[in-house]
Amino acid sequence: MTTRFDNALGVIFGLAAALIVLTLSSARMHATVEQNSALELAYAEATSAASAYARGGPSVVTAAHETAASTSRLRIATLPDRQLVGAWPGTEGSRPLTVAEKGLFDRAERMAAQGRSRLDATAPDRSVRVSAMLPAGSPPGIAEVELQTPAGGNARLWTFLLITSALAASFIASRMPAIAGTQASRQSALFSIGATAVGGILAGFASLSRLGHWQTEKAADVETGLEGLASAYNVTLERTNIISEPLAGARFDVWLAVFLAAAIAAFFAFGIGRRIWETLKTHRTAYAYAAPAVIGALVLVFFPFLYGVAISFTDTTLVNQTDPFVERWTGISNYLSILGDTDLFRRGEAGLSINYQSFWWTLFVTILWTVTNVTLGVSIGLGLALLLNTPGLAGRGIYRVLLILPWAVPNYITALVWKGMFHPQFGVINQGVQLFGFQPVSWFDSFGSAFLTGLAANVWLSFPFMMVVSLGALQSVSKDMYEAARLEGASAWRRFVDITLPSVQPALVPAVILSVVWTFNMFNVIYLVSNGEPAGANEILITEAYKIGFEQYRYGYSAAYSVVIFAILLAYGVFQVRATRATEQV
Amino acid sequence: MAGEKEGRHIWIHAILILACIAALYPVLWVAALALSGRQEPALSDLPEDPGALDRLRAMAPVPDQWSLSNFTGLFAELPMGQWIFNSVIISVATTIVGVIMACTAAYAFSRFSFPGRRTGMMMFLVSQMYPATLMMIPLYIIIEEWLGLGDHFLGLVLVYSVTAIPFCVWMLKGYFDTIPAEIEESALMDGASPGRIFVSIVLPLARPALVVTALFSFMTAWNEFILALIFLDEEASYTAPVGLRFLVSDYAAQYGYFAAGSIIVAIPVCALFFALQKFLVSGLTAGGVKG
Repeated sequence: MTTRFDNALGVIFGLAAALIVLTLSSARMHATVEQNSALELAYAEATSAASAYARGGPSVVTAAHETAASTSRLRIATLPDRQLVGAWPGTEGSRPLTVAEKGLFDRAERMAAQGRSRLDATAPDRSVRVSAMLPAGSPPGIAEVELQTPAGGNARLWTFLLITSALAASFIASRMPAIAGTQASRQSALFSIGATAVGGILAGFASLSRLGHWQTEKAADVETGLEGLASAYNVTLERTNIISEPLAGARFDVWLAVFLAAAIAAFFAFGIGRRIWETLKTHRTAYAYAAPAVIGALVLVFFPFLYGVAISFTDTTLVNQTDPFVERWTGISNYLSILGDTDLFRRGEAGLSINYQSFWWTLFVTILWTVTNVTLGVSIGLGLALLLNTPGLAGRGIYRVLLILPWAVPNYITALVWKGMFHPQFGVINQGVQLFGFQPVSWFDSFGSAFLTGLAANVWLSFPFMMVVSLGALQSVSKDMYEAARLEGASAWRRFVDITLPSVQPALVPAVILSVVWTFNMFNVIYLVSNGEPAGANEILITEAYKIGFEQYRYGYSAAYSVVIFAILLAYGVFQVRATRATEQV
Repeated sequence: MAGEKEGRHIWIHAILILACIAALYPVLWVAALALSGRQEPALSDLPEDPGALDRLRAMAPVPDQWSLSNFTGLFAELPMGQWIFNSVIISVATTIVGVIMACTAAYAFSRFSFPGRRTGMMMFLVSQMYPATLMMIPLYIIIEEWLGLGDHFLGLVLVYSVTAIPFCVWMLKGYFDTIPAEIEESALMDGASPGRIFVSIVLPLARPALVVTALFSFMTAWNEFILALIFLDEEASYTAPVGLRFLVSDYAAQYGYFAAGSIIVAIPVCALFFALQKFLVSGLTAGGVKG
């Protein structure tokens, strides 16, 4: 009785899911060929990129920036010193960018980062794809625009067949136990799964025929005028040829739909759905309370994590991110190229040099960074806590408040302040260096000194945490123990090793674990103080992953890098928990 | 004996005073720069051939001339007011959404036993180890492309409040665990509904922990920098951290404005921090979570 119900439910839900997937996938293709405003937008963007390329190669890019209220366009040269060379229209000459122009600049740089003569733009409703490209060897100012629009197909028949088959399958599946007797529950489950899969395949064919093909039109001789704006793109559309090829990714959508349908059917047919539903009903109060946070975390924490892991197996970049997933799939090649970059030394013109871009160098810097920071942080913090814990010390409260202050300051401000103090020309630290008769140091020009800048800033902001934790633990140590030890004639060192350390250890161990994880991922300090200078030598893993992702726009590679970071941290966490448990048992 | 003690204390005071100077100097430096009316990261001009005294004076965190022009300029020439306003809106909204979601979930995890309880708590803990860069690209795609909230404050509010949930849940669950269940049981005997017990008995009892969680959420949102940098393109929708960073980025070097802005932005969080630092330490070490 219940099985019958489950099977029918499974078939219906499975086919519904398949239909939704296929409708979604065809909706993005289904569009009219007529030019609409979205098309013009995509068109303008593509042609402006092509024209910028035509005018000065990939280093000069025109960015258009439009809001509801205003339209501003800029021509920006991405020179190494990041100066704006000419604003458009009007202003000439070089000056730093204003806040308003920075957004434009980023966008322009994003386009330039691709270093391409081709830009694909997809209209927001995905109805139209435009590719602008500059044929090799053609004179500047002429670009070729390729307009691709989907052609519709006839799908009514297939949809009708699909719905009929779904109804038939669910009916038969629901009658199955009655027909085959008591032993049939397993068979009926298998049958309903099979029926759903067949339904999914039918739906897939329906969708394939409906998706149609891309229709390609070419517009040659696009005048990309240098002066005017709205009228600059005298685009003449010439229908040259119509290419008929099945849409990329359509087949993938079909198999996805079939798989989903079968999975859902199996989910119900084997009674998992029922069991979950009953659990939910029994504990409904608890689940209702937990639901908002859990759903939120599923959508914005756990799903992004899985999605990130998924794209780490692809070569997704800014350019191809709208392509179907299967086309971007590259397996573990990202991981191979990250972990396989073992050539730490390079033979250049100036002799042997270290390959700062290698993962292993960055890992080495990260470990060095974490170990030095945590060691210094713990020593300074514990030392100050011991001093503050001196019995009868006057002004302890004031000292404590002043020494905690670095922790209270937001860490991005701390980082930027230290960057200013290490300024090679104006910075106070070089004033101090010169005060003692030394030459000023170019802090960010060599690995060692640049490492020190980050270290100074990070130790400054992290020691108060250790100090507060140790102080809390020290205050709970009984004074009598010290008194007794003193009477026994134990030296100060012995008292420290035998009484102080064991009593602060329980509080200090979790603090050190936390601080290792924090420092390992301390993005702000590295990014804002030395920014990995010189030449990326000071990058730690997390900033390197950021730069790969958001400055080189290699999303897939960056995700793989991040997964490696996560694996290292997880391994550390597991190891640490084991080690702590082991010591507790002793 | 007494003399020996005095002598030791002098050394201790000397070291502690040195440490305090090191801890205070960067803060004083920013304050002096903010009040100097200058834009370079230097507090005074050096003569042609500076002597040791000139250099000492250049290092002392006292401006050459006192001026409020950095503060006035910040609001007159730059949209600092707008940036602070954005930060306030985002942080307050994050606090409200985050605390509501976290306190109900923490209550469920603390009071009820249900399938998935242990797994849920463990998942929350492990999620704190996810590298931010791994989350950025998917979050960017979800918020910017699927939801279209890229430049909207709602996008950041959603992300901030949800990413703070694991920490807040752990902290609040720890506190709920300390409230004796007998109180609720007797209320249940008297015929109160579970929802009523939660709202009018448990929440008031947990007020201290709720306050700390709220302040923590507020500070997280107020200080967050990387995600805001990625999501916000329009200058008008910048939060204060992104705006401040912009002032001393590769595009511009306006250290004076930056210093003045930092003072304004940091004072409220510093005050909050000192108000709740005692709870933060216990929460951090008890929950065992990242920042």
